[in-house]
Amino acid sequence: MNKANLILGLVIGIIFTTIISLVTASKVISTGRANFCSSCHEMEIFRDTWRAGGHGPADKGVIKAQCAQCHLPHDNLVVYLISKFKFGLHDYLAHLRGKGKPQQWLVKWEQDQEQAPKAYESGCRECHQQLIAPGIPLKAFTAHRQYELGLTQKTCISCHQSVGHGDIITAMKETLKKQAIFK
Amino acid sequence: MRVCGLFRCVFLIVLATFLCFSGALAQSKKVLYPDLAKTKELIITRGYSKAALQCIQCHAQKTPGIVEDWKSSSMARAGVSCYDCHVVPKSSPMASQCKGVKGSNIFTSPMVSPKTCARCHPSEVEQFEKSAHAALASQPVVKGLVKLWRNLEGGVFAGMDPQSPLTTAPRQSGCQACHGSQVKLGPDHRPTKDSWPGGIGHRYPDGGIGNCTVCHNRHAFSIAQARKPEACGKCHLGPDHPNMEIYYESAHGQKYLTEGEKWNWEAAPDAWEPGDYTAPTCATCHMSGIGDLSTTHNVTERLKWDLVHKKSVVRSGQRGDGIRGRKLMRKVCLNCHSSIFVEAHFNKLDNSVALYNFYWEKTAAMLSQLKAKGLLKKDKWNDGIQELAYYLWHHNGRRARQGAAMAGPDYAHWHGFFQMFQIYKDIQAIYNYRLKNGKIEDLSTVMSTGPY
Repeated sequence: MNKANLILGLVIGIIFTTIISLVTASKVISTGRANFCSSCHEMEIFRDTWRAGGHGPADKGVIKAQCAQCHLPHDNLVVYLISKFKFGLHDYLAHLRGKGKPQQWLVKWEQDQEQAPKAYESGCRECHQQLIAPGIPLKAFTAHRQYELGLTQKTCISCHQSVGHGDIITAMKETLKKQAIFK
Repeated sequence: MRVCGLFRCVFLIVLATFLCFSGALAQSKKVLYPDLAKTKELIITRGYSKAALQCIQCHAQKTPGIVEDWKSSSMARAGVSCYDCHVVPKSSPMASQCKGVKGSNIFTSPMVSPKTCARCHPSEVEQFEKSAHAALASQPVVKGLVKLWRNLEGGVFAGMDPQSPLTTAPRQSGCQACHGSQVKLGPDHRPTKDSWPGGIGHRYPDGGIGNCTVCHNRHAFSIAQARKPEACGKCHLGPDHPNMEIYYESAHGQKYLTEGEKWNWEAAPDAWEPGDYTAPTCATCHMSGIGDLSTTHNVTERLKWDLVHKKSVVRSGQRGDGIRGRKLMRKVCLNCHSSIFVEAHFNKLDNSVALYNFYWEKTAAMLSQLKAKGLLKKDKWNDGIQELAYYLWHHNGRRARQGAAMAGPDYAHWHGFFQMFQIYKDIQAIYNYRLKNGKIEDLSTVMSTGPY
């Protein structure tokens, strides 16, 4: 192998790897967005309730957060990618098995009220870094200070339950009602 | 004469006019004193959302007492209003709508469980949930003692219809008011008439257990109120646990009654220290931050003994950690007392508890021996020896132990050990009679209400 070939190989390799990396990165990002997630029918209700809420694109003056920003752990890149792969596979298989209908969610939540986190603390904290920001209302200050001092086991969504999808339970019940009418 | 008649005429007209005006004046005076209770108007334009202001303004007229109470509270100062605690999501099992929000997207509940309080006061609620004031308090009303309030106190044994709402009267008026019970919901998602409000361990449909407003009464939610002994005394009194009376008898209570009006009741949490007061109240020893101890809403945390149940044991498991409890309480005492004083107090308590246990164990042994021989009645409320044993434990035994724990000698002695030894003698006599004759006496040998 001569020197010219080696350099050519390296250059092609670098270009090729860069392209692959960029495509992967952009796919990692785009597959974490609401448009992609709601391409599965059963996720549409989550997209709609998110749209209307404080973290959605509704005009409430709040920056929108995409699905993966809350529903994947943001501790570090490796954990993030492994979780993304795991949950992605899980949701895909669940989709194939016809799971994730409103009535199934409602039963699941009814049975297990304190179920595994629906949003990751590390996801919230990625954006909400300063919890005792200037101008914070006094009532929030009381709770956030206890949180910061580690005096409570509560997580962000223990109190801010409706930030992601509003009153999702009511939304699901209303969807079921509509479906029953159209039947 | 004519002139005179004219004058008279003018005079009469003037008089009539004057009377008319004074009548009108009297009527306008009535307007000066409006019915304050019904026409109270409160307009606030600062710091609240439009919906929150609507609640305040409407309720200032509909329930002026509530809004008056709230508006001077620290809650109001922190900007927490009706809306923050009473609005629930539509999907909440407790969601209903008052007239003021009908047709809107706002749903409310008259009930506020500790889950709501925990949104701003998470660690206080977490500590509270670990204490005997939460689930343990309402457990007997919901599970263990249903037979007592329904079948016995509710009169079923005497022929009352078991389905009659009258059978719930003892629970509604008694048990539930202190211990709490379980909220039941009507079809309108509001609490049924017999299941709300409730005491300190009340169980709510949203899963919350407890009732913060028992000590911090709504709608002022005062810290000073909870620091005063009467906040505790509304439940901790009477023949079975006269804690309020014991406190009044103790040196602590005497100082409170003498100097309490001058104490600083409003210091911030954990900053309320000796000097703000000259003697402790219930809260000081059992809850407040004092010296290097932090505040706690777990009232069982600083206790060594279980002074409630039949046999006093060192607290463990869900009832706390007695060894640690004693260490913490000793720390509390040492803020004001010398170590020799403190050791003498705990020595007195430990000896009193051990002596009570001695009496109880001997009583329990007699009862189990009689039971083995078939010499105990099935209905313990119709059996002298069992009734006496109940009072030995539940009334006199607790008074002896708790009188010793909180330095109320009259309760430890005259209402406690002095009566205990006599009850024990009666128990012994009945025991001997039954063993000797091999039968139960025909009629109960004690008064049904027992010795006070």
